[in-house]
Amino acid sequence: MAERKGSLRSYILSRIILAIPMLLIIITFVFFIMRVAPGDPVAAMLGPHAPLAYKEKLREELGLTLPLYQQYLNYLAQVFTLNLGSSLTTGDSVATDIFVYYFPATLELTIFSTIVALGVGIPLGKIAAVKRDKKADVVIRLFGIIIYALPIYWFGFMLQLLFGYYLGIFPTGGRLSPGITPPPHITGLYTIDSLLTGNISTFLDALWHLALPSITLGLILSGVFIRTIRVNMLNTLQSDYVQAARARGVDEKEVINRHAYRNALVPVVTIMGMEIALLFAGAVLTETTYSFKGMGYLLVWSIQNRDYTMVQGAVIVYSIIIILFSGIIDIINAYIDPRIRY
Amino acid sequence: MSLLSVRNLRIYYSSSRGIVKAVDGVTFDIEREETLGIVGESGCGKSTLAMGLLDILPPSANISGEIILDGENILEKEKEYLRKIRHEKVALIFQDPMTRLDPLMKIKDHFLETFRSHKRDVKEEEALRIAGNLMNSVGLSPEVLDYYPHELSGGMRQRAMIALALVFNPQLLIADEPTTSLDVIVEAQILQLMNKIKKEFHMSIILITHNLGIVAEMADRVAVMYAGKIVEIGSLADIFTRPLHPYTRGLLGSVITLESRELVTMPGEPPDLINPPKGCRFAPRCPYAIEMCMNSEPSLQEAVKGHSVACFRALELMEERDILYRGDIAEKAD
Ligand SMILES: Nc1ncnc2c1ncn2[C@@H]1O[C@H](COP(=O)(O)OP(=O)(O)OP(=O)(O)O)[C@@H](O)[C@H]1O
Ligand code: SF4
Ligand SMILES: [Mg+2]
Repeated sequence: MAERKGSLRSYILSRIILAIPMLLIIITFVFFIMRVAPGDPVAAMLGPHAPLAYKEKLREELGLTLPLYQQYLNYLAQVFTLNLGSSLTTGDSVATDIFVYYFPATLELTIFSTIVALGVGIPLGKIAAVKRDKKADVVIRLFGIIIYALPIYWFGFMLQLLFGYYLGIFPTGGRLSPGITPPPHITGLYTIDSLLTGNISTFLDALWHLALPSITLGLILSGVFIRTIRVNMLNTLQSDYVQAARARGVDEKEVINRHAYRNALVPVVTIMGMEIALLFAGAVLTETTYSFKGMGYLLVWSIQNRDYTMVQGAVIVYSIIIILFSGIIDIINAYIDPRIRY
Repeated sequence: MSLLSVRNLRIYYSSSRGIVKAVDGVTFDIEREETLGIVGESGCGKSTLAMGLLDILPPSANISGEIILDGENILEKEKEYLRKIRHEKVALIFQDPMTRLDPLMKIKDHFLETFRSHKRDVKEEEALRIAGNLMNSVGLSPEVLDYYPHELSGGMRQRAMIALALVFNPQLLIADEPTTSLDVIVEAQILQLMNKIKKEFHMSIILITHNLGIVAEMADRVAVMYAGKIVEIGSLADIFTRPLHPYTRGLLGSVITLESRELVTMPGEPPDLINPPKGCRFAPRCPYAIEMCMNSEPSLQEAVKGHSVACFRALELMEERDILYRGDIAEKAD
């Protein structure tokens, strides 16, 4: 037992140590990309017709007249004191904006998307395995391949068009209907906050708005789960313990559900780890399609408005979160799978 | 009436390379409280036969013939009848206890599940009490019921598998190389245990192995399998002291010459089961093969009472008195 904890600790430690250079590279990369990209933050802030002198003054105030390396060092110093600065466009604290408002929105979207992905992917994968090479299997496999290959933008747009505009079943964008006030901030996740404060109508409205974006992202991700669960279950269905259970006269339903299915679920955590980056990247695209005001929406908006500090802050936080999440999943995984543990 | 009569059993796998005739016309009987040893080289169809007797073959397998258990041909029965037979009348233990228990389930859950599948009315406490007693009879502490499979050694797992096999006091225990993956000391213990429970539970045992030493120790009768067929079957003494089939003689010869009890030194390779030789399947390796052996197949026929052989030249060979004599085994068997 002690050994397991020890190796787990060194595993966590190595993950953290590896994350630092990774972050540094990302931070540097974002900084220079934003400087090299065409467009002027001051012009974006003040509009094209502002007086030149005024522009110059602001430029100086923001430290944009300093040599690039100086700007870079200032920026690094800032980041390492965990100060993400304030937005060039709104003047708000970048950290507050992100953590109070935008990140919780993304978290909410990714959670619901994961629920959709698992809720669709696992049962379909299971059916495909049990009905191996039958019609159901072929259809499900095809669905899995096609859905995975679809561009998120396009797929989101199609769902939006069909269910939002054409059928009008779901809203086409936003997190809440106009006129509905966001619930008091507790976690920043509207569904949770509205439930915590007992506001059912806000909860339902938030859920209604989450539906299309979560289905878009969730369905795309479900392809991977379908495939993996199917393959895992084909393996467990042929495993020695499944055959032994059959030899004990265990009912075929129980053989499938208790032995084959449960064992096939073990690697799901691993897939989730591999899917984390895809999930967050997908969230960026989905949010833009549905004007869902999360990290992706913020990122795209800030890039368009040359809000250097906001872009930098968003990328840094986003990277840390992705690294953190995949790290956590890996550790959970190391904990439940003895083959990784030792 | 025999406990189990197998008649002309064929089990063919369809594979991408063609049809694998893994068991091809096997016939034998097993009596109550008797141990039948089945020996043969790797790949001759022993495990396929074992699985076939419980009809738990993979979907690619096609089974035909008769398996008559207690007077009923189980292959003609509906699924549910077959399911009940498994474990209640015929239990199976396997070569590799390491992989035969579900890694996510405690040992006791294997017992509980087995009870649930067969005897719904048995309460959980009662089932656990029975399980605990069985653990005692196989030399394990009932506490082991609370362990996960990976917490047990190979020997402990095989004991647990045996305890599990005994829950409904089956009439027949099929053991497919039950000790192959264990070290010699544990192997001896498990074999001893099997002999003990056989008496205690009044079971018949089909013991599948490629180890002649084990057969000599355990079996009352012996069937020798070659390339999907039984080529010789008889009492332990018949097979070890008066073997009739050239293949059996070869096996025993290799035991003597090498002092190893594994079947490794037979010259040549067993035939491909997709395209077996047209005549006698052993002909390509047989030192006694004649023209006839290449063209037609010998059938299993009683040469002496209770001793059958599938060889055209068996009677001729019986005349020869240069046959191997294993004194120690003969004494024990006779
Ligand atoms: N699912 C399958 N599909 C096709 N061929 C198979 C399948 N299972 C087994 N076989 C073939 O059937 C033959 C008999 O296999 P089987 O496992 O019964 O042999 P065995 O005597 O138990 O061997 P061993 O001593 O190695 O356990 C082999 O040639 C094997 O390759
Ligand atoms: S039938 Fe012929 S080839 Fe086959 S075992 Fe007998 S002698 Fe050998
Ligand atoms: Mg085998």
